[in-house]
Amino acid sequence: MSAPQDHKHPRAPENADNRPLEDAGTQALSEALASSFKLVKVIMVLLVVVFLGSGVREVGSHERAIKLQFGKPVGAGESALLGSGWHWAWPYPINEIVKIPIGQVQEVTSNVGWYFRTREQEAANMDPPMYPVLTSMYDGYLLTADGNIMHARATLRYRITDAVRYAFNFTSASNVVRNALNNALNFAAARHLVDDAVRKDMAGFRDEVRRRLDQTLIAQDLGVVIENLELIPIPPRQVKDAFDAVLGAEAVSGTLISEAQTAANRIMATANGAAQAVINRAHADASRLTNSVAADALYFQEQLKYYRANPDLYITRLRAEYMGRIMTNVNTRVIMVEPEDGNRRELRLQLTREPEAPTPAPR
Amino acid sequence: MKNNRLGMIIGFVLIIIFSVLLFMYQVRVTEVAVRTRFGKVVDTITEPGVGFKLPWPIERIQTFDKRIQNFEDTLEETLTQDGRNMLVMTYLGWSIENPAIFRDRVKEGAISEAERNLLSIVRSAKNEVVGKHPFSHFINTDDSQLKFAEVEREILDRVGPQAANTYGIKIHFLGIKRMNLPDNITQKVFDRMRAERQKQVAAFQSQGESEATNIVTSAMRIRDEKLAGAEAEAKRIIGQADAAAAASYQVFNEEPDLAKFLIRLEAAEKSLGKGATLFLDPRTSPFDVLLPEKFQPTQAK
Repeated sequence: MSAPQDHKHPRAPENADNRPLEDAGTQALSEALASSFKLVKVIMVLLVVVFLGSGVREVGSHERAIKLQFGKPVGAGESALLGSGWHWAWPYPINEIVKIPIGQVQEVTSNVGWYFRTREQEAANMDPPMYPVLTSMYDGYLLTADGNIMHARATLRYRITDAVRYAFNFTSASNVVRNALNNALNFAAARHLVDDAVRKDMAGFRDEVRRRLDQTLIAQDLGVVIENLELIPIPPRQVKDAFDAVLGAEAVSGTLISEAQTAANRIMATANGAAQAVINRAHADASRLTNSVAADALYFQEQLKYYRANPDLYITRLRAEYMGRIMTNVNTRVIMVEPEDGNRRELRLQLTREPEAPTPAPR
Repeated sequence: MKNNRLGMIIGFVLIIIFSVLLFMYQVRVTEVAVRTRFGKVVDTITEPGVGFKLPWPIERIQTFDKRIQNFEDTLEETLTQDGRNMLVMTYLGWSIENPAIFRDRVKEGAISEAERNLLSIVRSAKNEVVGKHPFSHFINTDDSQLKFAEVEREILDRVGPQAANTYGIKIHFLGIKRMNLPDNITQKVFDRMRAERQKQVAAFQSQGESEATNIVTSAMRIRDEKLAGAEAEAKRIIGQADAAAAASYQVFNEEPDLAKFLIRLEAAEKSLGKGATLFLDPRTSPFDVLLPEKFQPTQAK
C-alpha cells in the first residue's frame, strides 16, 4: 500500500530552492577543512620525521660517542663507546649522544711561567718592551730553589683514555690538566737552581716536570695519558745579558783549557820522544862500550904474547907509536928543557903541520 | 569518525606528555638532585636516570651539576713564618657532594656563589698554612727541607672538612698554581742574579786560567818524571854494559901492567884533541933522546 503511495508521491527533497547554495557553502567549508586537515597531517608527519631524525648523529673518525638514555650512559666502560659513523638515538629527553674527541691528541699550554704577551705578539712571536720589574698581575714566572726567577713554557699533548670520566666528571677537564701542568712547573722550579733549570740540567728539569705531572694526573684520576711534553725554560729577559756573559766566560775558559790540553799533549809527546831518545842513546853507548871492551880484550890477548916476549921493547915501541899519533893531532908541542945552570929556559918546538885557519877580519 | 580517532590520539599523546612532565623527572649522569616536598628536602638523588614525583607544587626536583669544578683563588701576598712576603695562588677541584646542604647554604644553589664562599675558606686556610712555614719550605734543592707538597696537603686538610660541613662541597684536589714575589722585590732579585752571574764570570776566568796552567804544569811534571825515568833507565843500561865490560876486562888480569899501560895510552890519545897544547917533560920518551945524557957517543955500541 505504501509503495504505490510512495510511488505516486515521491519524496521531494527539503528546501529544494536553497539546496544548491547550502551545498556549495558546506562543500567549500568541508573541502577547506579537509585540505587544512591534510596539511596539518602532512606537517605532523614531517614533524614526526624531523623529531625522529633529530636523533641522528655523525661521529667522526677521531671521535667516540656515548649514548645517554634518560640521562644515564648506555653500557659501561669500553662497551659504552660508540665508534665513528652514523648513529641514531631517540631525541632528547629519551636519548642524548655526547661526542668525545678521544682519538685526537689534546693540547694544553701552561699559563703561569711566561711574561705577558698579547695575542698579536704571541702570533707574531714578538716580545713586548721590557720593564725592570715583573708585574704579577700580568707576568708569569717561576721561583727557583735559589730564590731566583725564571720563565718556562710547557706544552702538553695528551690522549683521553677514560672517555666517560673525562667527559662526565669534570666541567673542564682540559683546565684541570692545564693546572696540573702549571703546578708541575712550579714544583720542578722550586727544586732546581736557576742555572740548572735554564742551562746546565734542562733535561733534569724537564724530567722533574714530567714526573710531577704524571703523579698529579694519576692522583686526580683524569683519565688521560701523556703523549708528549715540550718545555722551554729561559732566564728572565732582564738578566739575559748576564747569563750570556757567563756563557761567554765559560766558552773562553773552555778555550783556555782546550789550548792547555793541546800544549800538554805536545809536551807529553815531546817528553816521550826525548825519554825514548835517552834510552836509545844509552843502549847505543852500552853497545858501543861492550863492543869496545870486547875489542880491547881481544886486542889485549893478541898483544900479550908480544909483550911477554920482550916487555921493554914492546912498551917502548908502543909508546913511540902512540906518541907519534898524538903529535899528529896536536898543533903545538912544547918541550920544557931544564938547563944545567938552573935558569929555566923554554924551548918551543913549532911542529905544526897544518896552518892555522885565518881569523876572519873584523868588519 | 576518522577525524575523531586522530584527535583522540593527539589528545592522548598530549596527555601522556603532560603527565610525564608532571609526574616524572630525569637526572643526567652529570647531575645530582634533591626532591623537595612543599619546599622541604625529602630525598637526595645521586644516581642518573628517571623517576616519579608528585606534581608541582607538591614536589619539586632541583638538579645540580655534580661534575668537578675547577676553581682558582686570587694571587695575593702572604707572609711566611720567617717574615718573607710571597704571593701564592692555588687551584682546586670541587664538586657538590651533598646537594641538600648545598641547596640550603649556598644562595640559589649557584656555582658562582659557592665559589665566592670557597674563596674565603681557601684564602684563610692558605694564609694560615703559609704563615706556618718558612720561605725555604717552598723552594729548596734539599728534598727533606722542601715542603711544597706538604703545604698543599695542609691547605687541603683545612679547606676540605670546612667546605664539606658548611656547604656540602667535596674538595677532590688542591695544588699551588703560582708562587710569586712582590713586584718591587723582582728587581732586587734581578740585581742579585746579575751579581751572581758576574761572580760566575770571574770564577770561570780564573778557573780557566788556573786549570790551563795546572794542565800544562802537570804535563811538564810528567815530562820531567819521564825524562828522569829515562835517565835512570839509561844508567841501568850503561851499568849493565859496564858490568859486562868488567867481565870482559877479566882478561887484563893476566898482565895488569900491560893492561894499565894500554889503557893509559888510549886515554892519553883520546884526551888530546886537535889544537891542544901539550907540555912535556924533556925526559918524556921519545923526546928524552934529545937530552945529552941519553945516547952519548961513548954509550953507542
